[in-house]
Amino acid sequence: MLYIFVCEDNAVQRKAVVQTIHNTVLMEEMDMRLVLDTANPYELLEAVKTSQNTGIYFLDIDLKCDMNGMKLAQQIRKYDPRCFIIFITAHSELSYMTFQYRVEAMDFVLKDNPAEAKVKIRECLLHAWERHTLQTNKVHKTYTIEIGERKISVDYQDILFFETSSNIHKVVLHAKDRQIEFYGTMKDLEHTLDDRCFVRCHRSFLANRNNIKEVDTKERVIYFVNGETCLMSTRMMKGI
Amino acid sequence: MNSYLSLLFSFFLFAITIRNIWPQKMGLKGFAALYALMSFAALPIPLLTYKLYGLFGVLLAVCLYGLAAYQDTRPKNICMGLFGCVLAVILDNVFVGVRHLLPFMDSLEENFYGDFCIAALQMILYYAMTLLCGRAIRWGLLSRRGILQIQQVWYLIDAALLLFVIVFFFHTEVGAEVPLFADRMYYHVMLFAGYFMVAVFLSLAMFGAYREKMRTETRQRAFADLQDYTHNLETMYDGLRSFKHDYINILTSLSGYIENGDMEKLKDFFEEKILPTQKMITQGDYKLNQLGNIAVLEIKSLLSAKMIYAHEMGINVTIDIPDQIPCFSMDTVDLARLLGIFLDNAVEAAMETKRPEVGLNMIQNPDTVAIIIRNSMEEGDLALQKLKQQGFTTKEGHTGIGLANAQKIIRSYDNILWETTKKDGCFTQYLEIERKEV
Repeated sequence: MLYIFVCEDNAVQRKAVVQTIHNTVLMEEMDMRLVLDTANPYELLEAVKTSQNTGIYFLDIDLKCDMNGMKLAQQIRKYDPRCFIIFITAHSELSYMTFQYRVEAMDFVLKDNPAEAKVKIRECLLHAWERHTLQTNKVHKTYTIEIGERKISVDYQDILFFETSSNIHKVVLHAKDRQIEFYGTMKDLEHTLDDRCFVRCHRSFLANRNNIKEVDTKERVIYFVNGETCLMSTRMMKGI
Repeated sequence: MNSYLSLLFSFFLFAITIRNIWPQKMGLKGFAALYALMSFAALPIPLLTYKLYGLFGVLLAVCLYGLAAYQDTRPKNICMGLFGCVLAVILDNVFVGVRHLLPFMDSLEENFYGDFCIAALQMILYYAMTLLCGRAIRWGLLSRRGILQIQQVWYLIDAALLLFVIVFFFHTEVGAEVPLFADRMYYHVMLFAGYFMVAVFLSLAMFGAYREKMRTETRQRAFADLQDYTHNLETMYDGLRSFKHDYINILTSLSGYIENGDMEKLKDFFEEKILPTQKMITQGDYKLNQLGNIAVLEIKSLLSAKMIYAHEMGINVTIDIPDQIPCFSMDTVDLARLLGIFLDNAVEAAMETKRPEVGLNMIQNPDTVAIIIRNSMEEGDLALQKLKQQGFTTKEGHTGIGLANAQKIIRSYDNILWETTKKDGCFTQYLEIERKEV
């Protein structure tokens, strides 16, 4: 069960949003319920504190109050870390990136075009539902990198391999569509990662077995599913 | 013992000469240090070998002293030190010559007090003359403006002077009589040591010149970027002002139509004149003012220059920097190079797409600063791994060292997390710089 919360200071617009949500939930027969729609962010926060379920939050950014949507979202994240936050706004100039990185906002609904906004809200709900079911049904193993207060999680199934960097304190994670260079050591990685999945194939590489496409024993090169390659040493070849 | 004393005395005269023409005021302590250093460096040689080679020790001592003490006028120190040596030798010769012209001096030299008197007289004369010379030099050379203000010129003068002094001494003092093999060895060692020192001064001069050049270049670039930035802000303000003016005109004509109750014309006017202004407000303004949140001037000017360029290339530019960013915990020049590389790549990649977009985003977190550069890109099966390899490029005529360099810079820091993502036609460079405890 997902709880839906709406915080919007304009009553007319709030009504429209609520209507769309009702329709979508009914039509798609999703296990969701609209719990609260309000203009007051503090009221919403109180509700979040007592809520037991994961929530979907539709927040206006400019709330005509000393707490704006961004601050509200940050507070919500504290109480409901796995929630889905969607911003409703007329501020098209506030780019989506900041929200995404700061509070991991899921999406962004522009209210200047009501027809488009309806479609967008529907998409958001479906998307959140999809992600929610994925999370609950199939428990993904993830590797988490921490920097400051930010945590970056990468699914095991996306990781190709880890590589040492020329900086001895740093390791490079090669994933399917991303590459992250972070503070860490291979030794720690070997300890934390599941060794049924990861194998040390070379002094400077730690490969994910499940994403290997091909092994060239002659040239001692491992090919991964997206075409990236890493080396392996004869001594450690047995492990694969 | 007598020769020992007379050597000490002549070094004392040397030291006085150098002190008097030294570029800065030398106190008693400095003078004592110089004298001690000279004695240490120069005395052992004549004492052990019974030769006059002590002069080279003096030269060495003066050079070392000039480099180590009074560091803000280093090259001038050395120059004046060498000049002092030459002056001391000349004065010595003059003094000896004059004394030979006055025969009654010989009798004075016989007894101890007479000798002492001559020495005292010599010292006073030295002092007065060198003080005069020092004044003249300070007035004539050191306080001059123009080319003599540049340190490198002084290093060059040092090198030339050193070469001159060494060659001169060798030919007058040593060159005339080098009968023994051991002496010849010594001669060569000295000569090469001299050449080596000359080379050292020359390279010092070159190095200084190079560094100075680099510094001016970066400063000039930052200045040019800043000018672009200000210019752009001014145009934006101009645009705003003209819009204000138009706005008032629009309001007056609106009220005119309303007073006449002419709904038809009012409608036409609204659709023709007022609706298009919506575009004016949203377009063209690419939020350069958000760059004002960056306190580091060099970075601000670089970013504005790159963003303006991107905008002029027809790219849809978004800048979002919601908080004040007082500093980045890394070297400014390194960061500027990094951002330059990333933004150039972003602009180039975005230009290949149908709807080119580049976004810049900075977020100040409690203990990190995140910098995100994002651009639209053509979908392709380009492996990220290849991208960072030296020599890899997607474009003709490029060397492909940009990202390899960026990688090198990032790897020289422990406090930077670097994430590169390629997804849904969007390429993102994400840097998170952790604040370092200083």
